[in-house]
Amino acid sequence: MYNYWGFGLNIASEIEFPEFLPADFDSPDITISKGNSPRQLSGDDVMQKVNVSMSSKEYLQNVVNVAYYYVANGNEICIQPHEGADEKSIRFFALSNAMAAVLHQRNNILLHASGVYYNAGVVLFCGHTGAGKSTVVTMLQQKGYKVFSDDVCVLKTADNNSKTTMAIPSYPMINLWADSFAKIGLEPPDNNTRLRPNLAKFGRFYHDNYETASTPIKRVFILNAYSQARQVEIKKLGTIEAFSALQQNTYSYVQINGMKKKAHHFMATSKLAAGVQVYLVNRIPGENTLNEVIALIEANLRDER
Amino acid sequence: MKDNMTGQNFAQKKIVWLASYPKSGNTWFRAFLTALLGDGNIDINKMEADCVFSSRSIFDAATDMDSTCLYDAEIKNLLPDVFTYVSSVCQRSHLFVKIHDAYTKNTNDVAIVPEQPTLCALYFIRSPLDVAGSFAHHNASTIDQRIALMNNPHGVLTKIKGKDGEVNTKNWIEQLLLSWSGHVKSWTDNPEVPFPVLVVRYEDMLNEQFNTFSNAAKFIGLEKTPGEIKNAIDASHFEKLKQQENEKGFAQKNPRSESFFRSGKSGGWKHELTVQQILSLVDNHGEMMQKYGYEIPDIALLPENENRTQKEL
Repeated sequence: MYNYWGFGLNIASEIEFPEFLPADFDSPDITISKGNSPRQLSGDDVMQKVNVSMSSKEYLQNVVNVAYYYVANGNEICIQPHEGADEKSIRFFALSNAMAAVLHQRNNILLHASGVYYNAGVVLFCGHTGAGKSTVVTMLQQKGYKVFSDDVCVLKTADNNSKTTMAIPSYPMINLWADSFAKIGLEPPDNNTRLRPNLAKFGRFYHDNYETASTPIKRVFILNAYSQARQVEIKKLGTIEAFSALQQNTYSYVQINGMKKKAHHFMATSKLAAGVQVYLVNRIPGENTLNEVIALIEANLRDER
Repeated sequence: MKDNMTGQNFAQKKIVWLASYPKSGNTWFRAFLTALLGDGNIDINKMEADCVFSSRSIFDAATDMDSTCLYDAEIKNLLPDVFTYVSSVCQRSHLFVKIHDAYTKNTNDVAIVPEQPTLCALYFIRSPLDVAGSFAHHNASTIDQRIALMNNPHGVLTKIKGKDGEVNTKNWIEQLLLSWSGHVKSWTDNPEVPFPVLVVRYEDMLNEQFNTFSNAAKFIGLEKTPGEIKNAIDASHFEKLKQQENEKGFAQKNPRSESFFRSGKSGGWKHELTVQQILSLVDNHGEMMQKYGYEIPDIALLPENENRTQKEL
């Protein structure tokens, strides 16, 4: 059995996950096992979609040619690989869909965001895949910022009346598309670091410079790669706009809906929208505007410290 | 027939595919449908058939997958189930889905367009000589680049296969077009297409408006009066759509191009294509052009223009 830390949880796994941080603990929060997965879920509250079904307590995803992922009770992930499936793909969907499901079952809300540490907290960059989250964070890493999390982080609303929302990082790996390496000025990636065999996306570990503590969110930038903007621009969003943008950037609305977590979703995103400044960064589609985006973000951070 | 687990209705056939090679009248017809089925007003950013086959958000919502991390073949293998599911949860009698993909099969040897939920398809066709210029304008590319794509038997939109592997981050899923002729043949002259297909010529939408729109509405089972058809045609007049784009923008415009709506006319190719470009399109697509009533131009009779010198002629 391998023991890890990831997404704020102690994880005992039968499968090796180099992506997670090795950890010591007495009892795990969740277990990941290899075994026989059910083929379907039953019950009145099961939402059935394409190759995926879910209720508040169970989640079942069949990734064709990869594996069945059965997630239950907020503490159990069972993986049944399909014959001939590659290990990277098996791990990839465990780290994304299955981990999201187990976290939702535990009433956690995930933000589709990467982040860096800044000013005794973290600054988050939200956006859909391809918006530039990982590229921005890697660029900032090259400029000396310490990376907090990539792609997703867990929102942790404090129990008291504090306005602060804390974030918990996922695991110490940045996912970068092949073209980002040249844009940032990095050496081309090692083929062994591919996330899936035929995908031009690569993982960059940062286990040596990683912290697991939950950290207050100081500011959020929403990266928009599909704007009709003619130049890179940044604008502050009002609370309602910020709430809407954060709702759209939570990870897997399908799961939130199917697992009946809308109330938690509303609470987490409304508190975050009310407690931090949220900015929209419009990029110019199809153009490499990374340096302008970084300059605008850094200027914004300096101006409103 | 209802699914025991979900109670979803899988039996009713309600998808009407609005199929076309790009820039062939699909959006115009959607504007007409919007006016016909709504209150007569059109907001070009909220049209009927905003359900688009290659939409990443529809795929992701139906599968709980991040499609950017799937291979194109994996996506194509799931698409038939995705649209069967989308149809099953649609509350309306018709579900209009815009599609630019050719009618092809996935690696499971299953048609990417599912038969089960399909009512019928409208196939919009426009002279490839006019498509070339409009398509180039739409993508802010050259006419030669667009003609090369139209002649490519393996042509795709939103290409995702790069030298390092699949880079699947665009807003749309990759669409296999085939060549222009291959596209037309796949939808209109293919014994494997198991549902009725009505071919609608862009030129007839311009010149035989009432009959063309009226026939199309009837084909898809919309019972409308001649007055309602006429009003919808008037509301979706090209100049009105263009004016709206000028005033409010259009979300489906390619960010690199100046506008989505250009001239909305036929025969513009006579003023913008070179002899070589005309010959290239005719050589590659003459058979399909003739099949659908597009005259093969006599190069010697074409007027001279800035792209076509007397020497070329």
